[in-house]
Amino acid sequence: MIEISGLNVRYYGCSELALRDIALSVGPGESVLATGPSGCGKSTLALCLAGFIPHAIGAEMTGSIEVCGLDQRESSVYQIAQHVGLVQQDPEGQFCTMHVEDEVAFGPENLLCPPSVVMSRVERALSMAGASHLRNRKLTELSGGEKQKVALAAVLAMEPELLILDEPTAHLDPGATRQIIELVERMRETDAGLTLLILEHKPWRFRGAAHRMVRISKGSLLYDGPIAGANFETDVLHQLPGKRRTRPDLGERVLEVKGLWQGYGDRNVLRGLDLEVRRGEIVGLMGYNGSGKTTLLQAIMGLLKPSAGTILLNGADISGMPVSDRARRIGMIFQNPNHQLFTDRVWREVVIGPLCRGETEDECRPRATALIDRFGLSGYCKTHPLLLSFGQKRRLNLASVMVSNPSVLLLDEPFAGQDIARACDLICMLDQLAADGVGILVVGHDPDIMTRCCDRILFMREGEILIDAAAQKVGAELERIGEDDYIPGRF
Amino acid sequence: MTTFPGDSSGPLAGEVRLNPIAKLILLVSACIVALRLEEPLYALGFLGLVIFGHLLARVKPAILWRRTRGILIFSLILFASQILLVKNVVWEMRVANGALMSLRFLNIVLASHLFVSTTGAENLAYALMQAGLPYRYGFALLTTMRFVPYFRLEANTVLQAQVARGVEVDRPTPKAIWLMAKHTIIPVTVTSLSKVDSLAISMEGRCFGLHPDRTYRQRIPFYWWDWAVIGTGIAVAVASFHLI
Repeated sequence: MIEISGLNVRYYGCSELALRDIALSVGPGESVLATGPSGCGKSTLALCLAGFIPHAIGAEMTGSIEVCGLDQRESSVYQIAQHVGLVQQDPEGQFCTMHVEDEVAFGPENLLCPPSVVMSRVERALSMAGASHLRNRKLTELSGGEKQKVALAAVLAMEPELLILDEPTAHLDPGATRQIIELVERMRETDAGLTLLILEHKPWRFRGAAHRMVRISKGSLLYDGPIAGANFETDVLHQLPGKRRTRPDLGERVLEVKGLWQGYGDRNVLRGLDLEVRRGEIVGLMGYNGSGKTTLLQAIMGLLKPSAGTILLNGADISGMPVSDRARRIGMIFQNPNHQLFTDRVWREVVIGPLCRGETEDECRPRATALIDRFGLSGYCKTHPLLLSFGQKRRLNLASVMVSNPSVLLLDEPFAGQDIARACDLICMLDQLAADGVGILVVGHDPDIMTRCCDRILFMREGEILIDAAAQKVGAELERIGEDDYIPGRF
Repeated sequence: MTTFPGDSSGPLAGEVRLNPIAKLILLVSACIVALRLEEPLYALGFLGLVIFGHLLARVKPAILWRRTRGILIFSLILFASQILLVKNVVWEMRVANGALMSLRFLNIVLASHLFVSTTGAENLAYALMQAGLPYRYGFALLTTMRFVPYFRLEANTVLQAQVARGVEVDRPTPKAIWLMAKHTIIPVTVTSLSKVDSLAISMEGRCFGLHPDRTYRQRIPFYWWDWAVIGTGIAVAVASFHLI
């Protein structure tokens, strides 16, 4: 099914090889799990197998690569697409219609299949993806997990011989992640003819769906063997810093939220919510999508106006304080680092907040310089922020927020889609900030990362906090209320 | 403005009952007639017809009011400006001209509102493609419509990120507004481009563009009443050039 030998890929304009000397042979019906940290070359391999490299994406390719008997260099993307299906990370960006049925029918219609054949392919694909009940729904109404199922069905409707799943759970909450894993395991059992290549940086999640694992690092293949012999769990998880202990020396309350109500139209998203964060404490906020986590952060920041409740910062009521004033006291980090990069120089990015609030560059220079040094960006002051690596962008986000010297830091899903190395990097930075006395409230989905990052975890459901427990004890509490998907170590 | 399925199910609304192309031709005819009418009284009568069309399509009055109150205020400003700012014309003439101008504006906007309230973008695109529009253009329209809410959401997130950094939107100054606009373009463009890449891979990976034509699992039908509506629309538009 896949025959690769001596494959080297270099993107135009890059000096480093994205893939180097890859040799891989996969037989029909095999399920292979390809793992490795972000940027190791997994997605590049997928793009080569699907024919986008070298035909649609500018890259220099040497060596030989043959999929389903087609030489990737000689065959067009369209020829390859009739044999190879690629499901990408973000389902939202893959849809080109408005309704589920139209989306799944899109591929067969392009192949000039008669309407009756299109409909039978749609039905089969939706059934395989466990999405038959969604067929009449609008795509905009679907949850993240449902969207990923539809994206999978849309590719399955092309009846591929090789199906590539590129980090299919990267943007999903644990409940949706479990559903996708179960679905892939079921597909492996029921469709013996389908060859599966799953790209995933948390490989233990798909151990039940693959026969074999390959590990890629810096573009090279490091391991290729049966999944039973792969030592991925200890190999990856041990990189996370050890569990934090609830520190006895936690300071006074820096943030208190009392009886907070927030709604959109008739729907109450937060229902009389109470919480507190102490100086130097890292508090984690978990819960399903739509449970109100982001809304809570936005209400604390002042981006939304709560209908009732009080927010106290260092004991003072800030409920009526304008956002621009709160921004001097509270820092907020968004999920996508690019959303927070506005200027054309790293230096300007760090000082833009104080400048907007009327400070002069001379006034904020000492703070900005110290933060740039602290976050390891001193060599990049004149670099465009968008040219930085992902980790550097995240550090820049933190520096640009910390320049205001906030007493509270809010982070909205900073670990989403991140591999263990990037998560470790961020956890270490948050630890340092907490040690300086900043109170931190961080929203996240990954129980393993959250329990290692936080002192205390809050679990939200439908706008209320159901659990408020020390990180070490949250697993037992989650088990008690039946939220098994969020128990650490489960995925 | 978006379609509200279920809000409207009258003869103009049910998307299976009137082909989107018939509705589009009716809209073009209505705009021609609205521009051709030169008597404020006739224009007022035409406005009544357009509002009746909304009732026929069962567009809820509350929705109509919410969506069009800004337009109504603007048309009143248009009317007032004609009366107050136009010089060297008698008072009655200024009132008549002002009324005609604002009624034309209202008629065109409300007719368009009726169209978008009762026609899904997807149905319109599919109907146009099935009527002969090259499918590449049809899907260009569809994907644009699909990404509008997404880009709006992205822009909103970027604005929130700026506000959270201290840009004073709660005390807006021209400088703050200028900075906000300037600082929104780059992040929104970057995130949009990554979506476009992902979409291109997804579409080509499903053989979009393989053949000059494509099939459709479902055809949007043309009934006799669609032809009747098209014929009537064209006839009224042509007549407006001869009779008015």
